[in-house]
Amino acid sequence: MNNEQIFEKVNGVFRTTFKDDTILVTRETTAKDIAGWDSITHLDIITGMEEAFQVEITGFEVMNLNNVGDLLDLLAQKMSE
Amino acid sequence: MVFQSWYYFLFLLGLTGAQFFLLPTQRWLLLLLGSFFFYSLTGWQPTVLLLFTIIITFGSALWLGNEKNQGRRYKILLLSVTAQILLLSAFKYLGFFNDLVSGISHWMQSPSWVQLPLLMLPLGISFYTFQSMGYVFDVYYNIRKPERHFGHYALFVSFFPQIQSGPIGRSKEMLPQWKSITLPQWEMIRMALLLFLWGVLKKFVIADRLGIYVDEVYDSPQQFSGAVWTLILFLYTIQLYADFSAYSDMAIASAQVLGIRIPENFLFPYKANNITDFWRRWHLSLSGWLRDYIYTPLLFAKKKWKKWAVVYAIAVTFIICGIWHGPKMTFVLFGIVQAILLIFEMQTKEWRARLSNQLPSWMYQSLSVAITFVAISLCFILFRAEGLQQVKEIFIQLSKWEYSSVIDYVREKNGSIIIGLLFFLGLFLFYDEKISSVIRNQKENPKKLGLYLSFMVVVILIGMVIGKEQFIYFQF
Repeated sequence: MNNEQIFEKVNGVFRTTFKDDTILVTRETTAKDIAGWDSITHLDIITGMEEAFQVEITGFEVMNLNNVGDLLDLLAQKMSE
Repeated sequence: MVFQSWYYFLFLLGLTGAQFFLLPTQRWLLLLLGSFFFYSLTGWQPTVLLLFTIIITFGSALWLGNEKNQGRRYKILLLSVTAQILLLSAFKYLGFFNDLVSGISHWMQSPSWVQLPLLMLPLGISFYTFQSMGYVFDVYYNIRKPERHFGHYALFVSFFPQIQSGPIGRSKEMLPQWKSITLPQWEMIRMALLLFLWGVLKKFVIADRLGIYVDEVYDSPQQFSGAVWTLILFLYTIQLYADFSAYSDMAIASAQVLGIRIPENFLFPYKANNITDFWRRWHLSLSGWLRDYIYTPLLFAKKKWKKWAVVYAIAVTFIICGIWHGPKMTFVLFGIVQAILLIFEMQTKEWRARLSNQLPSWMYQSLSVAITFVAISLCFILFRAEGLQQVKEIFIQLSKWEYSSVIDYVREKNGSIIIGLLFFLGLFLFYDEKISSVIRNQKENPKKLGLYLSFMVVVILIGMVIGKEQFIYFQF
């Protein structure tokens, strides 16, 4: 899976979570940029990513995520393992 | 040494002046000496305890930094956090343990089998314990590298504007500031002065004045009707905010004249339109700490439980929040009630969204703000009451409504003073955001600022004539 495909899949999870087809996240996107991104939707995003990419993300790893870029790097690393 | 005293003002002035004679890289040392001098005024025993906490957390963070094995790192974290909790408990929660033992013994109709001796509560212990514990968590989660400069770290934990009642600082924002301290420009000093005076005004003129009425009613709850109690509940809600935000403003202003930025603690909490929103605006440094170090790890540790993970994380976090405030069942209950309200809001999110579409926007918004304010005022009974028995008494009184009694009460308390007070309350509640932006805006017209400054000094002087009280949050 190349970066573009990963990005498209990540955007898909965001659109499903927020029920908004117009959402387009970038590497720099943070919780402050999307209305309604609270801890509950954060949980839905992480579990959504786990299902979409068939990986397991630990609580420890979640604590280190500062933006979507960090999430993309983590997913890429998980898939290469 | 309290903020609202001449000794403190002279101490701050002395430190600011002395900073000019030092290089930016040397100023941390003066602040450290000043902070330890400030804290040592509370006694040598609390100072030794503070130093002990600094050594434990500094050492455990270095140990964490050198350890690569994740299992061993977790054990180090557990050891460090346990040591800090035990230390905090020894000073803060022995009374709670004794009460619990007495309660069980009373229930079993047997004599109390153990009573532990009580220790004096060191000033600010709950605040600096959380601040240093947060730093250890940051190192554990690789959010930052361990600090290798012991002096910088000791200053991070002991910095005098924060140590008594926060705001609880974060290592990522605070520690880098000690390396090179740039003294503030005149505009910043002027702004800090205004913020400090605004704090003094809120404390003397609003909080302490309201405290007189609130204390009288809480001292003899059964003498007042439900109508008077309702008035007092609202007054206490305003008193608590005025008191604690006054302290926070003075702390932020004190740090600012020394060239240091510390986090804000409030975001106009009584404009919140639900309890979830309230906790995003109230005591931000504590709620942020609880969110990052308790709620989020618990939530993701149990993420497979889906919605139940949120319920579990909210419940545990807010029970801890309650216990943090003090060794009383009322605080534990305060935490439980907050958790119930937050879970209720989570469950009714979609229903409330539908309702908001059916009502005019202004009506839904005003109703939400009013309901939230009433709910918070009721919850604060648990914050202010002496014990569960008093909470029960207050609710019994609240059920006995006599509308005329509140008019008699205002008459008896000299109506003109009440009206004067309400005028300032109105000013405070509805214009706080505006006042706050004027105070925090460096580019404000100097003449306008001079006018605000003179107005505040006059009001404070009037307020000081009537008397003063200690900050409410010092008990935590």
